[in-house]
Amino acid sequence: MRSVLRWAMVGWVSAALLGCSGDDDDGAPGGGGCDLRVAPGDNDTEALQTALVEARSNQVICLSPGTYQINDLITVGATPGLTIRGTGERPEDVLLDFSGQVSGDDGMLATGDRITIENFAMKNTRGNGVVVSGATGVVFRKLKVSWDRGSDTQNGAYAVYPTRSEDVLVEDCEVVGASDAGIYVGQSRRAVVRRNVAHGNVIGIEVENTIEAEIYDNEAYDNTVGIFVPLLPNLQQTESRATLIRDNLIYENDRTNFGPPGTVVAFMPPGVGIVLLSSDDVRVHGNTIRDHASTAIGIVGQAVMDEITGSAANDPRSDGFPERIYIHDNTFERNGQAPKGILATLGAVPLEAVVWDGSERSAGSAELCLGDPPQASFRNFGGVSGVGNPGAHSTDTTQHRCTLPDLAPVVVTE
Amino acid sequence: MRRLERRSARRQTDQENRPRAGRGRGFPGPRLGAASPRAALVADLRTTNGKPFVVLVLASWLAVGSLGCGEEAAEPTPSSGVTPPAHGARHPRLSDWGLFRDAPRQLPRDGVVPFEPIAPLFSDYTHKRRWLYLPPGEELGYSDEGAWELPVGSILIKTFSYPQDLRRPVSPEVDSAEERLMETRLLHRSSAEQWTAHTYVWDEAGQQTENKLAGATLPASFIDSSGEERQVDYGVPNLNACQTCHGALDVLTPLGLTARQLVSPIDYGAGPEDQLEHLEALGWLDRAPSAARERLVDPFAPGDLHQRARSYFDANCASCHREAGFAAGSGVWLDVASMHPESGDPTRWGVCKQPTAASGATCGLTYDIVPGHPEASILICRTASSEREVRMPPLATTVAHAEGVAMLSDWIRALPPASCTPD
Repeated sequence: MRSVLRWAMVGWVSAALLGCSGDDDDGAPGGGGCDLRVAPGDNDTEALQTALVEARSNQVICLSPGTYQINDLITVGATPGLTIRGTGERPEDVLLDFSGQVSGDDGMLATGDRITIENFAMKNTRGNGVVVSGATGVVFRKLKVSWDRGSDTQNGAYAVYPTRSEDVLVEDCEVVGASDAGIYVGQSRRAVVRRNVAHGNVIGIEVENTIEAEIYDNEAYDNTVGIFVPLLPNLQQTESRATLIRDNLIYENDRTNFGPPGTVVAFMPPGVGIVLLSSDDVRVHGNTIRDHASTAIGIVGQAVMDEITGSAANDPRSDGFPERIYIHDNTFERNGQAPKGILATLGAVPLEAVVWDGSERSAGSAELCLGDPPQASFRNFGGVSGVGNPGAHSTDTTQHRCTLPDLAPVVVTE
Repeated sequence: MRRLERRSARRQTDQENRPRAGRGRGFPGPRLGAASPRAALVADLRTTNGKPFVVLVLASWLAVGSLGCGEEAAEPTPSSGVTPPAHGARHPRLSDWGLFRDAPRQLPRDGVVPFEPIAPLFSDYTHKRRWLYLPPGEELGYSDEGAWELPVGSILIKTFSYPQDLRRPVSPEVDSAEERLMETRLLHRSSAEQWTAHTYVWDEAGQQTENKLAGATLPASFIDSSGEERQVDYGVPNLNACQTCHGALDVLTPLGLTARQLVSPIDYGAGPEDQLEHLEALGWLDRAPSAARERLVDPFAPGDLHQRARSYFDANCASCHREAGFAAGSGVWLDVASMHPESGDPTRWGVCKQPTAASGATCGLTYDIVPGHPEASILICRTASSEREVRMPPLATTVAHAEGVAMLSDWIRALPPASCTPD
């Protein structure tokens, strides 16, 4: 009986396909083809949103080349295994234009596991570009997210924004103009951020309160800060740990800070390649960090942040000391010639390649290693009391003549 | 094809769910429009192996043969009882579900039972009617504290409307001269693994509905409680957006249907009755509620301010702002446990807490809640705002709830000073 029914169904499906060709034209579900197709038309918002409501698990929704006028937040939803794919040669061939967005804030929001979003461009979202929250298995690939007005405080905070997720891969994206971070990975586990280009943002790439991340082969330039790895207080995930920053090209991140007043990043001094805030078990090697006005690498704890922001973290659950950081085999060129912002107030010019606030629980507990022998010029400004008092600073690397074991590469399960 | 034409003609003149004498028992199958049958089949290939599957497949097959593609099918014709669509399919009209004996007047069929939370979600000043349907003979897994486990086949029904004048009481039965129906949403436990969301938008006359997938914006107006004429762009959510508040559809959580919310008596036709006692008497609860259970309060009735605020947050914020919610990452948890007057930690619900995931929507302020100072508290600024980038909650509302903001401001003003309170 059952097999008869199956045949009846096969007949039905084929009848349907023959009679109404349109959206199932190539490929089998779950294969490399398209299960649903959307093309530019009269009501792009409704067409795309309808496809995403109707999509079943493991289907591929293909966006044909052209420009789509989107006027609302696109809710991808929680259906697992979806792929949203632009089918052009280049990401720019499929453009979601949110210039006329009249409702919703972000551009696209997904919460389902095993999601892949790839090969298209988005511009002019009111808020963040593309957000994935609470998913296991997230791939952002070959996306371009930007705002026509350039680097502007009114732009969305984050362009590519996975948060509270596990097994996150962000690769081959270009992010331009975010008023907080171009690529932002928040409160996640196992994240790989590679081969992306981030420019014109406040922060190029930010990996915040995340455990096990590998950031490599990226290019970050013309941001206020190139790469930012913080532990921020009062969040659900209370650690920033095991972050490998390697083989990136980080240069000329001197852009005037255009972050919205009151946000954490709005306090960042321009002209820094990498900022580590209260994060633990960090490895920084193989990077080229050049042409930054303030310094190549800044390392601070929460106490200095509290001073800069004029407020108190009030979070006993988050450890506000950066610990076990090993910086080696990087190329530093022309950094620190004209420090800006809070780094200008230190009173020392030029600034060294690595600048630390000296924050540690007890002498030596930070385990900040610069190699054996030390490979980077270095300054410990001694925290808040050292601001404007260069005589109290130290450039002695004796305490930092050490190495730490490598971190294992992060393996992401797609 | 002649039969089809006749049915189409009748469809145009039909009003939603007026009694349909002599229409016979029709087939409660899926809509046979351009996309749904395929969707229905895919879904049933995955999950169904029983009789409904057989019926669906055969009937769908026959229907395709006779209708061809892209043609509107004749409407389903439920004759008696509640007739949900097959798992994965959609009914084109609300009346197809058989949940109402008169849908335009919002008169439910017997066995479709109303409920009312004491602290309802604010939705741009709409009036809301809510019902629960359980399949005959089924009961729900009751809990004093958590979400109830509803059996397969359960349907939650919510209708949104704008009374013309908020100063006048709303009658249980809709008078279309006094009230404009906007939208009826259904959450259907369509299988053990999944819930399915459906929404129906009413025409301006409040007579016909249309099934919507991708959401809509409907301009509407009403006279508010101060006598002022108000215009709103009422937002019908797209069906994926349901998941943002209710959770993924495999683990969907009904929000207003909790023991702590169903504490006010309502009239089922025989005078005011306790809601849980009524459900228990129907045999719908698998165990008796405990007398010691938590009871929320009306946020706008006199009483303890913390308890009023906590009740308001439960309905309006906690579906996202809780440990497992969509906004868990903000670190601001406003659920009843986090806000417990004795065991809750005020930093958890925002006291002297800096926002770290506000995407710049901080109004230039530093802390979420500054005890004693609503004007310095981001929470007040964001709930009072009508700007999309700033406004909380971000879904289901476009205008501020003035009464809610006033109550929360009173609550913050009365909170004991903390470290961030200026001297």
